[in-house]
Amino acid sequence: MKRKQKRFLGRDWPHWIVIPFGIGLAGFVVVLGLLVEPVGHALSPSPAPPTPTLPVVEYGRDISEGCHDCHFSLPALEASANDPTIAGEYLIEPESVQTKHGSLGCVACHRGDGEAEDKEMAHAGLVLDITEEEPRMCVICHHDLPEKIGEDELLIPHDLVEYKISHGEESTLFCSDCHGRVGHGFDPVSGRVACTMMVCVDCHTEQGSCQGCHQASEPGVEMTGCDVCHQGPHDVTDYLTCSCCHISMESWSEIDASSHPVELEGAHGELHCFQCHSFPDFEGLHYVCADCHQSGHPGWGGEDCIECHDPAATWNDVISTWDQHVEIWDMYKGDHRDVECRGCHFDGFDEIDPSCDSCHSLPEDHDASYTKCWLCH
Amino acid sequence: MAEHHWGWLIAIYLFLGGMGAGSFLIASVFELSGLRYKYDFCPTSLAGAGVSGPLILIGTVLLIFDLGAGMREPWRIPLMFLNFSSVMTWGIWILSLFLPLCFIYAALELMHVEPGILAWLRDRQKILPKLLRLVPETLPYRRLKLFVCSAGCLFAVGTAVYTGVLLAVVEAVPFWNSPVLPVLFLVSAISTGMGLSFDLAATMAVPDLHDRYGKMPIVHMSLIGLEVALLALLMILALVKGGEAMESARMILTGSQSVVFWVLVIGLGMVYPFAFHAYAYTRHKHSFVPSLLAGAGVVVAGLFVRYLVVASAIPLTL
Repeated sequence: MKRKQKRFLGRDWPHWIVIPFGIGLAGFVVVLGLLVEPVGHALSPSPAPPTPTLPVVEYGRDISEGCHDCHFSLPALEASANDPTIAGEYLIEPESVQTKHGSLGCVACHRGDGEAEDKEMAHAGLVLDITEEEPRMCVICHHDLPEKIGEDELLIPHDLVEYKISHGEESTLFCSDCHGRVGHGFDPVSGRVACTMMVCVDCHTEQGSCQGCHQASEPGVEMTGCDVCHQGPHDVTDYLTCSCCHISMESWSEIDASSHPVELEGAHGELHCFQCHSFPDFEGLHYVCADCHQSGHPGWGGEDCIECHDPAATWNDVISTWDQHVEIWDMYKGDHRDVECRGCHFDGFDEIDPSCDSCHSLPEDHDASYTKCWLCH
Repeated sequence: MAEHHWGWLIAIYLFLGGMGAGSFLIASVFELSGLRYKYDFCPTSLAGAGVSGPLILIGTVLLIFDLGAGMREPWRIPLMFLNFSSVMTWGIWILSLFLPLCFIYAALELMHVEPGILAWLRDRQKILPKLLRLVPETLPYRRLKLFVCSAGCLFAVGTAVYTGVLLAVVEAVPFWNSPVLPVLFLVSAISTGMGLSFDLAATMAVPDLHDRYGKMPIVHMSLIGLEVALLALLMILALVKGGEAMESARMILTGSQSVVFWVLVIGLGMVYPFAFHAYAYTRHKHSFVPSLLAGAGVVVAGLFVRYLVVASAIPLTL
């Protein structure tokens, strides 16, 4: 039984009035909030501004215009350089200020005074490589860096570098060692310009010994093989090294097929490894044709297709199989050798009637009783 | 006023979005549980269903005003539907699907309460060709609302949680970057939705509304208690985290936002409503004006919780 209730708004008010009423109340609360908040703010204590826990980067795009005047123009550089012959080394591509780091402005990283008229004043306090002078500037944004670059299978000691920078420990490895001209057209993120492997090799070679970079307490790295720096997906190190198959220092996909235990003839040489093998450890393949190919004549022939088919040729190029026909056809070889298998086995490769008239019709001038062609032919 | 990472527009959007979602949830609970049919008129259902759509729509418009680039080049807005790795895209999809449900629910509830609307529509369709006269004589309101409410509840929870996730994923602001925020915003959304559609709008229409639902103070107290616990957890985690997160928490607790926090959020929005509902529950008596004030306090707290969270953001210093 439904009970009737008294109504504050009276019977004359329509029920739907609660909707605009609710919306109006919400609006009223918002307006009230906007009015009250400044009062609350004014009444609250105002402590000193919080102390940043990280250093402050002063973005300097607007105050770096003076740098562009000289460093975007070779004539201007030559005019002001002490040695005009090397002025080109200080030329900056104008497009580089459009990159993420370039857009921070020259003085954000190189300090100096981008608004000074005088060259000496402009270069006062100049920092050539901020990653060496103030490496913490990099890890403000670039933290949690990957330990492995996926596409290159490359192990990177980012954790060690980041730890040392964050804890103020001395390091001989700086961000710029690998990420060189960042802000000047080098874009390791997009990969448009990526340092090649030779940069790593050259640096390690230059250092001469492990202790060139690694402290005595740290594990040294001897560049004895690819797997020192690269951690590939294959767990085959017991019986293969990277260089058994991979022949390029630029791309993992360049493979030397000559090391393959079975010669890869014909179209086999054009296949990608994992079109036949299982990724990542090359398992599940026994070098039998039937592993990959389905017989076009099931029920006839074994798994080893090369008994008849030439792996270097097409499937239609079939080598002679007369050895299997000796009992029946030995006397008929001759022109039959030029006939393709399907010339006789047109209904499949099951046993066929060896009589001549299975394929040949009797000429009209021959007596019908002559059935043994081979007596004359 | 202090210079904020995001301003009042975003705080109001978060507030209206949350309260709209909360109102929908409260109305849906009344509908799905059958409470809506206990009396000849249920103002909570009508208010909850009716305000949710407009509130969320107004909030969304404010969001567009805050977009900046989107205001100058509105053709970029559709692109925001396609960046599925962004929480904002999730939110846009949730809002886009939820808003129509809100308005459908509002229309169904309104026509259910005021049958004259359907008759009026039928009357007006006579000017149309016969084939286009689609307005039926009556509608299976309960069955239709069962479907709309069930689906809408999922999106309402999604909307309320998303407003918190939107901030919680911002790693550059350590105070926001907390898993507590989405839960706090969900609870606050339900609380403010209840405050608006039950304590304010519905109580204005039916002053003895609280007498109908004797257990409702327990729901109120549970929500307020949970909100206080989540706020405390948010602050403790920020203080423990240190750095900018701690500075943000200090700004709210003892700094430039402390009066707003302690007076408007804790005092008016938590302590007073909790005490009022505890008193009302033990004495089985709800006074009209204090009841309205309790509802207003909860709603005001909902606004300022979001404002404080937005305003006290201190980004990692670069």
